[in-house]
Amino acid sequence: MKFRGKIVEPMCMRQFSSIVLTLCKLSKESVLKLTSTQLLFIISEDNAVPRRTMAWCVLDRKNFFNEYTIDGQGDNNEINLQLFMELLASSVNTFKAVDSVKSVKLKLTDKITPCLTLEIELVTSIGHSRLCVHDVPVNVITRAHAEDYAQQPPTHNYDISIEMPNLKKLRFIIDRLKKLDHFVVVSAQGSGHMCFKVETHKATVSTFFTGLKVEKCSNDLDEVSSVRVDLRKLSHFLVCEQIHPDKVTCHILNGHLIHQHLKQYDVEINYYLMAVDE
Amino acid sequence: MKCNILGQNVKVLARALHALARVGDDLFIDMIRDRLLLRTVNSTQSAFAEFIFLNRFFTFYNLETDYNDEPPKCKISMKSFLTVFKTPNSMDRMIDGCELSFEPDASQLILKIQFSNGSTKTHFLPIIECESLQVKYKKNVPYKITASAKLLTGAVKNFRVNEDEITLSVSPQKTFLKTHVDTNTESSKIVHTELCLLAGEFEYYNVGNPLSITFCLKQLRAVMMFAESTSLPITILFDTPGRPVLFCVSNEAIYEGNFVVSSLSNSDSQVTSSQESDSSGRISSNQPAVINRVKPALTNKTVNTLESDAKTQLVSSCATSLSSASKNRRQSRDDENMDFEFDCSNNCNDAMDCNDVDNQRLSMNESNFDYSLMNKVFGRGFQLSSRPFLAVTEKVLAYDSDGLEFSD
Repeated sequence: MKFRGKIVEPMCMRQFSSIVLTLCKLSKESVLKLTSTQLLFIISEDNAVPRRTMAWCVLDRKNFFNEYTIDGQGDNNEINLQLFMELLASSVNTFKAVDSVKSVKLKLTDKITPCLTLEIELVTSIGHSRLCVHDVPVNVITRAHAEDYAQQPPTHNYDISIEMPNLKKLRFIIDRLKKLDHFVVVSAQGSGHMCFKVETHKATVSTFFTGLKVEKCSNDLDEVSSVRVDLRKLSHFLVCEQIHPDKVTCHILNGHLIHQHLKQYDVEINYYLMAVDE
Repeated sequence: MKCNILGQNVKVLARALHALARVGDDLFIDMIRDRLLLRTVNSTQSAFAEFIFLNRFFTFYNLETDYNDEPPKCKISMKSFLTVFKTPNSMDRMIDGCELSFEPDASQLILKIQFSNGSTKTHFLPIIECESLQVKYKKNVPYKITASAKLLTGAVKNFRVNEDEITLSVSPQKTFLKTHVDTNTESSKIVHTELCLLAGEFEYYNVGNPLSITFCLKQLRAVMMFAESTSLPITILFDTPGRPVLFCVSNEAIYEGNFVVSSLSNSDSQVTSSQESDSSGRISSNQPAVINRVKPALTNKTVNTLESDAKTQLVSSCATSLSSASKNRRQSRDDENMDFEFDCSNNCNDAMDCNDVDNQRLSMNESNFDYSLMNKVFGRGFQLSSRPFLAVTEKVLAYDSDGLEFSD
């Protein structure tokens, strides 16, 4: 099993680190799936039996890596690694903090434990290059277990697909609502209305967004599709505004599921939020 | 005694205080002849820091005491002093000067700050005790490297913010900074970081045989903070593992800062001695947790760059640590070869009985081991009642029998 990748463009380094830093807030652990064309971060929902994918993040390797070699398992030529996002984030954070980074190499190495090694080449003031090596411990997922992470959750026949309001504004509101209750009812209408409602026995607080672009609506325009979800988990997703997405779509399956789809040039994040019963 | 400081220098003093505050909670102020000394020690007594300001630093400096008298000294809470110098960045613009004064028997230290708008603010800082802290350390050690603050901060930035200890591995051509890997923690839980610096990047580089030394990053960060603001280079002086590391920042003949930090010894568990010896005067609202330095060290003398060697080396170093542990202890008893340790005695002028000190250290060492374990189990609030209670009036921090001594 071999993996080696090299990032040279400063923009790509910044993008890569901001994605890792964002995903780090979603969950402690993640599975990094390396394939010949893509890098995927797969985050599972905590304490869910059977395992359920919460976030599925796809990075196109061509847009990030100048050099990329992989010699993986099976026919698909894949490597699945389990790692603590926080550890990776702390190492990745240094490309942001330190200027004059010349290149970043990602390698799979076998030290005391299997490690994802980041070799960061820095330029010193006297023109020499200096090497900083971070060994992030990982667990290699065996082929038998890798099946769990093989497939992206299927897309359903959603009731409505609607453009999300500005994430920054929404995050601000959701963070306020967090103080009231643990759950929020997200509802959308074919007419371009979206509503975030928190109900407690003392008060009901609803925030309405109008004029949103509806991509697909399988019901009448007036019919409301709504899902009651965990407020905390929704607010975790909203951290993604940090990577300045081009487009965020919210797919709603009435009473069951919200599927947030975030797209930004070479990155795609899918976030699945299951409904919570009253 | 009374001294005046002018605008720009107030900023230096403020920076120095901020650096000291990162080390300890109490500030010891001493006036010895032509110099003002600000000293502090951390709660576990694993680190000591001092700043020496010579009389050229001041616009006016007067001890107002005869040479026969005892030089003025006092201990105040770091927090109270820091409140006066909260914002070192904007200080030189707002402040014209400051005046520091106190009487030998006073209960307050008076700090008058002259603002550039004409107003004067007077602070009365309560004196906790009239005691001083003395430390012996030597500067003529075999390893000496000097680096600009910029180089070091650039290097340390690559480490995690919450990194506790780092290992400095030196060889004639290269220097490595590495995360210290503790044998107790699972290797799958930590990121191992390694950074290589070339000898040519340092301003001065005197290194003989390859050597690895592990020390706490916190104090280095404090020194770097000061050095960066004053754009002075940092000199790192060190000896074999287990002996203290000294960080020096010096502006020739005006002021200098010395930070002495204990290093993890190669074999034996580290000397710990926590200072909880007090009740009467000490105003420390937040007693920091006892840092656990009682741990088997893993550092090895050889610079380990080959990744494949890592496993075997780990095993071998553990084995050597067991065998040499007893030897080391005996040695320290025989040769009075004590490293950076604390003694509490009632009279500083008396010659120290080194054997006593050593015995005390060993006994404290054991009790501390229990204590730190207890702390782990019961939380930091737990106090072991059998711990020796010592009334402290004078402290002597001894490093080596032939070490340099600043006090008289």
